[in-house]
Amino acid sequence: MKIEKQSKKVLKELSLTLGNINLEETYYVVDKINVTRGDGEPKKDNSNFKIIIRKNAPKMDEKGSYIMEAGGWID
Amino acid sequence: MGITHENLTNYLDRIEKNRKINAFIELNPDAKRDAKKVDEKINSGTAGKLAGLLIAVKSNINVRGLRATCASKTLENYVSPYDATVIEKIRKEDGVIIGMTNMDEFACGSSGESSYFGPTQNPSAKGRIPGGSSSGSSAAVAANFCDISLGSDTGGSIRNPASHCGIIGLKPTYGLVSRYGLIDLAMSLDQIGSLSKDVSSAALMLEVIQGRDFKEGTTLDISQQDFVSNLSSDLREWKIGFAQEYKEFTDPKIVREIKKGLDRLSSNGAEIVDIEISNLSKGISTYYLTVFVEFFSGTRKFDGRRFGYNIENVCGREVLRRIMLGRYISQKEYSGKYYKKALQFRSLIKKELLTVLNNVDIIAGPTVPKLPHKIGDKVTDPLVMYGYDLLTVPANLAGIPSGVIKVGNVKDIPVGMQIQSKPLGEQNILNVMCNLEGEK
Amino acid sequence: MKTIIGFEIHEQLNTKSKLYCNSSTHYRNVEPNTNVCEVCTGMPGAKPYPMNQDAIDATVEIALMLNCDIIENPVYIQRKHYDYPDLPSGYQRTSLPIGKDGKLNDVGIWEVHIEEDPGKYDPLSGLVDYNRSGVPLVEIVTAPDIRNPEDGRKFLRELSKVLQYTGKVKPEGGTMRMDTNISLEGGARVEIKNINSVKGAYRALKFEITRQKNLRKRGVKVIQETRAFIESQMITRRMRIKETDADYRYIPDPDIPPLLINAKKIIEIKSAMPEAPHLKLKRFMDTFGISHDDAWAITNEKEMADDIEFEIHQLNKTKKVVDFNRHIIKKTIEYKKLTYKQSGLNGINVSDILKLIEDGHLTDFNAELTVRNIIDKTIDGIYTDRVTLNNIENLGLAKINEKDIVEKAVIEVLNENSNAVEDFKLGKSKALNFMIGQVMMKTKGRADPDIVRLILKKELR
Repeated sequence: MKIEKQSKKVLKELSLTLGNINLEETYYVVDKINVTRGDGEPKKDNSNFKIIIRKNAPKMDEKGSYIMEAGGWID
Repeated sequence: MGITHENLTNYLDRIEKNRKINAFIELNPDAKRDAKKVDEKINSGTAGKLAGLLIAVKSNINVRGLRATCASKTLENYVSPYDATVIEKIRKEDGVIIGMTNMDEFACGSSGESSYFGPTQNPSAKGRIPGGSSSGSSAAVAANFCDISLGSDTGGSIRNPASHCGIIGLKPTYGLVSRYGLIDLAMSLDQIGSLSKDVSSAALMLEVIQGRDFKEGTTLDISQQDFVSNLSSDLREWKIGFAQEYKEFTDPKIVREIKKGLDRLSSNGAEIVDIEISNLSKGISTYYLTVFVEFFSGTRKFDGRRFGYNIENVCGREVLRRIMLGRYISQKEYSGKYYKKALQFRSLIKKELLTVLNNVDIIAGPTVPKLPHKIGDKVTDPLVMYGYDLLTVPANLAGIPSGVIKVGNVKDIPVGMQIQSKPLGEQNILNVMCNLEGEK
Repeated sequence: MKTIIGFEIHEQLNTKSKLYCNSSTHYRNVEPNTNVCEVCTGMPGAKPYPMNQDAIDATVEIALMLNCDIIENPVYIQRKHYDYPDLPSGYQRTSLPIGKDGKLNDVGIWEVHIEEDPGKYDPLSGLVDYNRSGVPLVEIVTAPDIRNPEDGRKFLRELSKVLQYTGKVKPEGGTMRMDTNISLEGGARVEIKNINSVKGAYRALKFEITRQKNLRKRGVKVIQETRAFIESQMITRRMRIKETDADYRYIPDPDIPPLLINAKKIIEIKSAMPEAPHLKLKRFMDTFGISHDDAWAITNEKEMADDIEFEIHQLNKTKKVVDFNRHIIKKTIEYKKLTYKQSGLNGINVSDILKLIEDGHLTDFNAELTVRNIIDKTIDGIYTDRVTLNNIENLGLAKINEKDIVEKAVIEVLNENSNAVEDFKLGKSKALNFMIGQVMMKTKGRADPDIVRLILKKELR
């Protein structure tokens, strides 16, 4: 597949410019830790939200369940 | 007609007459109603900071009721069921959303050519790419289709089109503006920022959208800053750094315009200093390897089950390429070879830049290494496309703020100077831009 | 044949809101996709809210109860990527271990961490409901220290007790889910998923052992694989390879800063948490001098154990308290299919009953009826009335201490049951018990059976 071949080339080029280095990885740009919230009262129902997700849903039944592909997780 | 309604009418008229620019994907059908409401508030003296203004929003930011398509067939019918935090803030200050702008598909581009809805034109350089990925937001400002627009910047996506279109762009410090509701390209690099015709608009919008978001854990816990009232053009005793490496990688015609800008700053009291950014060339690789992994992860939810289509079935080539590469390098056995290495180089680049910024107030230089090509010039090698980002990715890798303002032209093509500062140094950037703006 | 068994157990924490958003965790008997928002349905652009602190604290408490060391380094939240309809973002957010190297009785606990529940997916109909998506789960991974299904069952029951003791997990209601690993005699390790009950775990293991033994008998090698437990048929079946693709492409979630559980927090939680059931059991045996069986029975529910301590303290009569709770109270609530917590019994009203027995106003028989009365009057487990002499008199349960009334009843019974008298005279001692029973019935249980026995014996001579 053409994209695949091209991608491999891109990857090779990109990884060549980086040599080897011995530094800590930067996973996060901000030095934050323990950002949490209290349990609090659950948010109120937003019926607008439900209307729109139904509009977006490829398939939804009257009760509100999404209808997705069935079974086949067992041989 | 109230002022908001009048502005809106004029903009819509101009948009209609210039459809070939293709800056918008969807106009807000409720804009007139919203404008009238704001005008009532203006009359009663209860209006917010953005009253009277029409704001265009990049199509990767959720605006309830409008489609956040990300310029992709994947989400062409996806209606946002909620407002992004920045949109909530804008509404609170009575800004009116005029529409959703065009962009590179899923922000995977630097030219504005990869949208499912067709390319965007550059209103300031006919026939040339407007830049990307916030192509529509930039063109909308340049063509006077709105007052201010919102864009997002992962590796230059606000600054690159700001430079090509000759307008002002501002990418804030990572964490200053909430990403809640932004359909990121890469979570650890993206920031929402503004595109505008003048510095005071940029300052105003930043004031509105800044701030800690209780819903978004990477936002910084600092007090609101007054950017507008602290605008100043006074640069006496400022140290402005310019790196020799910039000359090495940039088209000399661009460098010449940047130098003119630096001369103006210098004659206004600032000291131009030589600095070294030796790891500049490592930026592209570090950036893209990180992007591939984070983008792959972020796109797993586009499976077509709850909305839209399965992304890999309908997306464009570049998007597919990035997903494939992300899938490949995030495998357990390769993570050390690519991803971890990129994260290590990220530490290096961040460290270098922050060290330089300890010794100067501002780093000034070119925004893009080459002039925008003509729309229709088939650039098929992705690495050539990635090359546009060389000068802008370091700011995202380090999480520092960066702005762009026009300082000249090469033939008829605008050239923007990039102005970078240490984390939370937005006021410095705005003030330098203020100085340059005043000069015109 | 050495059998090696380990478990991975998931249990829901009973916070009010979900782990990464403020949607309600209430999902039973609710219309589908009602308690949801853009976060727990995986809408584009939605970001996880900062983590629910109560959920984190509950996980630390559970880890401490299981005798784990709490991790002192930053704990990252990872994205675990896999494709399944019930996973709205295409990845599950799961933390690295919060507690490590614990133990519950003889079974090692490798680690404890926190993750989010996916939604509910029915593979037969294809229907998906995200009400459950995002509810916080504690995951407990054991060492493969279990050697047979019976021990496995015992362990799971004990673990369930520990979790219930914290009060931080969803109360009794079958929300504990587990996966198990089993290998026989150094053979390949088989993983079994989709087990939703302790009984199911037991059956799954028994089935698997039989299946593997049969394969060996036929000379077939057991292969390493993942199987699903089918509850309706009590069997295990091989799962589709795609569902068991092992590379989850873990990355630290860039939207969630790591957790750091400091020493101060650990001390806070440790001092506030209840005594673990296995420790309470040991203490009861030591302090009160009761048998392991008795201690086990009365520490099964934390509320009952706490009330028993109170009662012992009030009355200073250990054996009476323990026996009454163990035999009378437990019997009655089990018959009524209630938990102690739901029954309406508490340390105060039970002490009242025991006191009334002490003071001679209540027979054991009628004490049991009094217990039933308390239970029957209550619906939600809140019953604050005391049990006074007045109460039991009104109920007609007070003990008859007037000798003449009892004597009268005895005489009546002797007159009405000449056959029994005959039998007794013939040496059948059962007849005496029969006649005592008759007197008890006549006096509506209000006579003291020991006194009745004396009077009968005297009369029969």
